[in-house]
Amino acid sequence: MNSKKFLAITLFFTVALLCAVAIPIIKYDPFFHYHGPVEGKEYNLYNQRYITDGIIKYFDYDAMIIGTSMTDNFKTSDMDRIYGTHSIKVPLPGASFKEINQNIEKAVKSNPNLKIVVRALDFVNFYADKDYMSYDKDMYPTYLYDDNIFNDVKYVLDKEVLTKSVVGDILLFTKDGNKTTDFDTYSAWNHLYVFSKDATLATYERPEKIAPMDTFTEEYRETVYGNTYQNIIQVAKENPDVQFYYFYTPYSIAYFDREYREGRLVRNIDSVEYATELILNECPNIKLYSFFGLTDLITNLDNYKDVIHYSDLVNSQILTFMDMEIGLLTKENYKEHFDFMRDFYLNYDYDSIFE
Amino acid sequence: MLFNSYIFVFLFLPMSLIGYFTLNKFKKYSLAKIFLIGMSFWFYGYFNPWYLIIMLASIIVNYVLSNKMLKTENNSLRKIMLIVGIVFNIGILFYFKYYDFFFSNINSAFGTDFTMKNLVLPLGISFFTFQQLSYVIDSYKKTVPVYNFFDYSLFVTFFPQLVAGPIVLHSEIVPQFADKSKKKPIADNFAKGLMSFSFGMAKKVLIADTLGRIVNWGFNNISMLSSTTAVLVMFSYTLQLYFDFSGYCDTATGIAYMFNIKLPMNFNSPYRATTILDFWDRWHITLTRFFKNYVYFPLGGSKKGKVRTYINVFIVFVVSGIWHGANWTFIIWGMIHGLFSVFTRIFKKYIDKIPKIINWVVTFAFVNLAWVIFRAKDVTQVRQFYYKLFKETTGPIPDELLEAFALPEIKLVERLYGLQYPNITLWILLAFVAFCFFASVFMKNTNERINKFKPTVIGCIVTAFLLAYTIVSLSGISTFLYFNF
Repeated sequence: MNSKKFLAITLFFTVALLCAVAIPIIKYDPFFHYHGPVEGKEYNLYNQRYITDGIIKYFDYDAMIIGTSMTDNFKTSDMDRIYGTHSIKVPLPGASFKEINQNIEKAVKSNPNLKIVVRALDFVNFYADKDYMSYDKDMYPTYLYDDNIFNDVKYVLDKEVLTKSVVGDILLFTKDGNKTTDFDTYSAWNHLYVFSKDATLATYERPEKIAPMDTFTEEYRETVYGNTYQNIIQVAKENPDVQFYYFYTPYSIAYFDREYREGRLVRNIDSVEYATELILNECPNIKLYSFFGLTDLITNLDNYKDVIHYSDLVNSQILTFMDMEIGLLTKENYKEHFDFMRDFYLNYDYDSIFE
Repeated sequence: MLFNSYIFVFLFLPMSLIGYFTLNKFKKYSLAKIFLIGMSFWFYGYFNPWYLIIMLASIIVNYVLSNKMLKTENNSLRKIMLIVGIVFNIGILFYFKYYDFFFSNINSAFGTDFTMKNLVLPLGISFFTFQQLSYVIDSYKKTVPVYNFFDYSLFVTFFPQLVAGPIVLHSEIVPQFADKSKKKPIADNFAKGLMSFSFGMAKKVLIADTLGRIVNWGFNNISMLSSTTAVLVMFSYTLQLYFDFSGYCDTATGIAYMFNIKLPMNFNSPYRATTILDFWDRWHITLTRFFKNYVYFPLGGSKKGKVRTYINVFIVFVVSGIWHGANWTFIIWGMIHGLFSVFTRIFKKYIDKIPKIINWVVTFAFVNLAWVIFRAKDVTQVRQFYYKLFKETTGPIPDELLEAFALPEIKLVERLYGLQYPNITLWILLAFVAFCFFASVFMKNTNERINKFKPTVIGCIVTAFLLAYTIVSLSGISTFLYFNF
């Protein structure tokens, strides 16, 4: 054999081996980058950052639930029963407003049938820069979020996608008689935790001292404006036919205790009020809810596993409350609501939590 | 840019080869060199274009100084230029690499308050600075010809060796690029290059990075180590370092071969060494050569008596330690290698009488223990690690380490065959480490493979398999750690 033949055969084998990896990945497409699920195969869905874009682009739905981990335990069966929809759930734990908004924009663009968007708003995210993305850019699979076919090599030539996602999470998953993860169980972790006052307080390290209370400065106001306008209002304004249901996530009273002791409570309430004002003035197609008035829910730590995360019962209640317009903020009632919040949370006997 | 990246394998390397040989085919020889310099700049500035300014400034200053020294007969002027050249190169290196280290030590020793600069170390600065320093010194001695600017730039920037060596001499590179017989693709060289590239990439991606999983876990969890696990972690690091660095050099050698350029050998199976002197003749050979020519000999080498020789050897190792990194760990590592080298020289005639296998065991054990210092982030960690190594009791390999090691293909095999985790992972881990040890000591190294290269079908299959396996191992699925909410 001469060197030319060596080169030809080596390159041929290399290409053949690479194709042997790429073809099954493209065929079964575990991250739905090219198409939806293959008929006859069942998919184990769990890796949110990898499959959200594909679910949004290729699944059949007319409603979506999206947000941080505060939306993980929503059941689309509840949603569909209450609102008569055919919905998907695409939580992105730890996501910033911008990341969530990008996915909503993608959904309205790629799915003309989309009618309802249910979105959780974690109020602490208002203080982030409007372009903040809460992840390390190098580890994020950005190649799955664009139409550039050249960077798809990172997907179609990845042994981990082949071994873990195609063979493990599709072929063996199907062979073992499993069914594709439904959106009630996708991303849900309710079954893994205990929800109780003890469990919640075990995760909470109470600040020893009470810090001076911070105020809602002009600088904060500008940040909240930028974030709210770019990542919440704009998509709703541009899509008047879509009904948006937004809600402020009801963190527990232990969280309010921390905010109080660390001096952030006043500016937090002021910022949410300011964002509310902006949203209500700009978007008639956003129904905005606040459950901070449901003090029985928030002060009952048995609803939580830590200071912020509530159980799936609360998720179900949220959908019902929204349908019944409980906690609905309007131009007429929102000031009264935030006055109530100030009165209640600034004067709450936080020491009683630990009794 | 990294060799082990998709953009390098699928875009940069083919583009460089096609562009270079096409321009040469049309006899645009200078343009071909400029093209390669341009590609090397792209390679270098890929992550941070600002580094290009540093490298370009370094090239221009060194070239101008060298050119002046070569052309002038004024000895005083030459001497001044040599001093300027040395101060400039060492100054750049000091500023970017040692500034914070130096002044933080000054602050602790004298209670001063120098502000740290927190500079990001420009990639490969230690390599291209030394490469040019050697040229400046040789220009002073007038032992180099006058090169044109592009030949000189290509010698410094030629991307295969730019960021991690080998530290080439101008006489090894410039004449090769001038050789007209090397300006068209040569199948023999390309085949050798592809084989070396594929082996080097596999050494880095498949072996070193996998060993790195064990090592990273071990050094991040020293408190959990038993002495058994500490031995495993130490041994894995010894192997990781070799496969990582020699893999990089094999890849560089392979790429250079594709351009018909032969780079000097940098690793010659160092873990076969039977004495520490032998080890340093086999490990990072071009660095040892640099220190020998430009530090040891100017200090007097072995010509000024035994004691002075030992002092010179010790100095060389301390300088080597400093060159490796701005941390006391590197300096201590250099010092103990220096001490052991001096000890070996003093007792050489007795040591030579000891059976080779015993000498090998002692040398290998010493190198292993010394690498712990090299890897540790500070002296405290060295102490903690040695404590675990010598004072802790034996114990099982922790499941957490096995979980860190378990590659996706291992997990799949376990699942397919219903094998019980973590026991099977333990056996795979031990077999893998044993194979790496065997390969580093007993198997032919890549340079030996190149020298005895014969195109065979088995060679095709092995090369293709390693290349494809490496390429599909470049990516991976990240685990998004919980972000609080």
